[in-house]
Amino acid sequence: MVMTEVEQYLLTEEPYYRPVGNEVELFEAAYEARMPLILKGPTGSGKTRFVEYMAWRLGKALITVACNEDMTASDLVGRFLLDAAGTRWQDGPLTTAARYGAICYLDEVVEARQDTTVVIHALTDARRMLPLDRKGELVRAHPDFLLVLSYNPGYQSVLKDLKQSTKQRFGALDFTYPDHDVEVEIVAHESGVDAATADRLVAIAARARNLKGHGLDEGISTRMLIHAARLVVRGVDPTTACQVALVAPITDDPDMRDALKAAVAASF
Amino acid sequence: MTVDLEAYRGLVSDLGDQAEHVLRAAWSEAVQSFGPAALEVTYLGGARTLARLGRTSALPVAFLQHAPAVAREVGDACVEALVEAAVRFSSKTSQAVIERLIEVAPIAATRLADCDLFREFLSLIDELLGLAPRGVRPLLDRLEVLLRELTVRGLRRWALWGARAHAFDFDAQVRYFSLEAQEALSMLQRERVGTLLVDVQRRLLMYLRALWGRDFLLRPQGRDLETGEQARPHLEGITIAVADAYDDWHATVDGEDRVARGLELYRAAVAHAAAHAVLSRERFVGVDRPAAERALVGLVEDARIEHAARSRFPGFARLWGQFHVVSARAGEDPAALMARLARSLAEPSYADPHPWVQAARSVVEQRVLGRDEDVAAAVDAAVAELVELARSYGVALEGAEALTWQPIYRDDNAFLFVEEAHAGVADSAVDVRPQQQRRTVNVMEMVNAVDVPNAGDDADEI
Repeated sequence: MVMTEVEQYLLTEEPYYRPVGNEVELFEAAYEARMPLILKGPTGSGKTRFVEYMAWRLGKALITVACNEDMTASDLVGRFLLDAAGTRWQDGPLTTAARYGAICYLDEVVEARQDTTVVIHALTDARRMLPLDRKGELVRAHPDFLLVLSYNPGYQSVLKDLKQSTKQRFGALDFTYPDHDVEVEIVAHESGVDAATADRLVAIAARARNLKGHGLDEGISTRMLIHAARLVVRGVDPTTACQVALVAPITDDPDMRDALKAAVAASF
Repeated sequence: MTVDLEAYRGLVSDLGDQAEHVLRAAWSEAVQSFGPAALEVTYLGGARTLARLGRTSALPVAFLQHAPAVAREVGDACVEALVEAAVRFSSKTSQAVIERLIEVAPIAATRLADCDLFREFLSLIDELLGLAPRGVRPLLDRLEVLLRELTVRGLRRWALWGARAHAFDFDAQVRYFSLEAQEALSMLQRERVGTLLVDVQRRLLMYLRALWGRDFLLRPQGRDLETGEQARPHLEGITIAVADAYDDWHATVDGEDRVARGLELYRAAVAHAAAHAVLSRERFVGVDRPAAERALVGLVEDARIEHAARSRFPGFARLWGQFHVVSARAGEDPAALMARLARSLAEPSYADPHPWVQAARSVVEQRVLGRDEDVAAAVDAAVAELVELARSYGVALEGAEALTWQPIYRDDNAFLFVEEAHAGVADSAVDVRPQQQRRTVNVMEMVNAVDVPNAGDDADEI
């Protein structure tokens, strides 16, 4: 029964992922060594797609947890629930992954409180085990288990950062926006738009990224470009598509919007 | 560095308790707005100078409170100008009017954003004190509203009209300058301009940064005082001097009305000047060169950099193209032919019937467009050929040097020309500012050592 629950996390189709460097080989090496990994990079730069692709490539189930500041350690490891027969233990996603050998992916882990993330410490050092204090059980991690975290360093602050004791248990892969040609290829593949339009969209993103730290907190991501390109494929005028998918979502500052809108107009 | 107020205590001890209280409150802003020398000489020295003008401490108190904001917006030289003006005005008007001037000086500094324009504002007040002394106080009371609508030159025309119309009627002066008279509102409506630089400066800077990935500075420049003509944009390193205000632009092309908003004109002007800053790397011989040849060099170099910029930003063709309104109907005088050549180079689909324009276009397209190395030599050779072609077609180019034929968004090209020894040398003035540094520090270090409350996005270090 539980195996079925884990099997539902197996990816049946190959996710599209365009390697931009040697990240695939590095992940495979880390997996062989069972070295937990942190994927760092701006939002929309392909971290989640990469971990999906690697799970599919390695043939492992992938359990993803979107972290948030209300998340507690119980949300990760599990809790006792009440039912007609009394109380029963319900494994959390981390316990399920550890018990049955899945890849557990904690997305945007810095959103969770630091005391919550400490629960992963015993799983990410040589012990590879997860003590379930409330249940009185010590779960030894399945040999196939791997923990992967991701976060966006741009959002780091004093209040949102990982403890050094957490960071130093992981290897890390840096993600950034792909090179122009690679990003064009990705946008064209994911949206079905022609290469010339993809090329212009990527050029617009490059311009908007010039404004990061100069009024924009974050640059236009590859994901946003794919959204814009999908609108273009559906017949929306490119300038309008950029307005809807690139300019309007990224900022509410009227001056910034105007500047981006004018930069988009200069591109078509 | 911490500048301790106690070290300057002796300089202000005789200004009274209220002045000392205000100084304590304004000290932090003053330290950030004035340099160390100006803090003592201009700020505290200015307060002492003003204290000698009146029996009460009202002037130094107002000055201590408001001068830091003026210094922050337009520099401490303007604060010196303010003190000098106050001293000069003390023989012409009451202390209350001078006090009001000091109180509203930050409004003028913020809206005008340039030291020269701020001095023009002080000079206007000086003139009005002679022409309409009763109108100055109400004008200062309404300054925020007036400068929201008018440039300093517009304010000058509006104020001088009222001063002359009501030179001998003090009550009418007060009504006019208080904006209570209908004619004051009518004149205001007449003088108001479409778009003020101060209102769109931030978005223009973001626009340029998005396009070229580098920072520029924009400086407002007013209209010529005598002719009322708007000076052309002017480029100096990374500083683009551009009109302090643009009206919406109107033209009729082939019977069709064409309109561009002031903001669109600003975009065209700064995008063109920025394209020069990035792409015009070589300089040309300017001294002892016939003026018509200089104009041709500017025209050809404009065409080259616009061609290069359009290949990166196709939308520039539309942005700039709308301001090329000349056609064969404009005639064949030198200025018209230059304008027609400029249009035919900017707009590939435009076919001009004049043989010199056609031949000149062909020369420039073959020799210059698309070139980004040995540009000075190529442009000079093309210009020599254009001059020769003009001779063979019987076209006189003399008289086209006034640049009035250039589309409104183009700059004066003055930066292109240097003395012979520096011609053809790649310019290194662009992008000389150090790249912005980003540091991550702990909270206490940020609060105690790094944080600068007034720093904007363009701070050297974040």
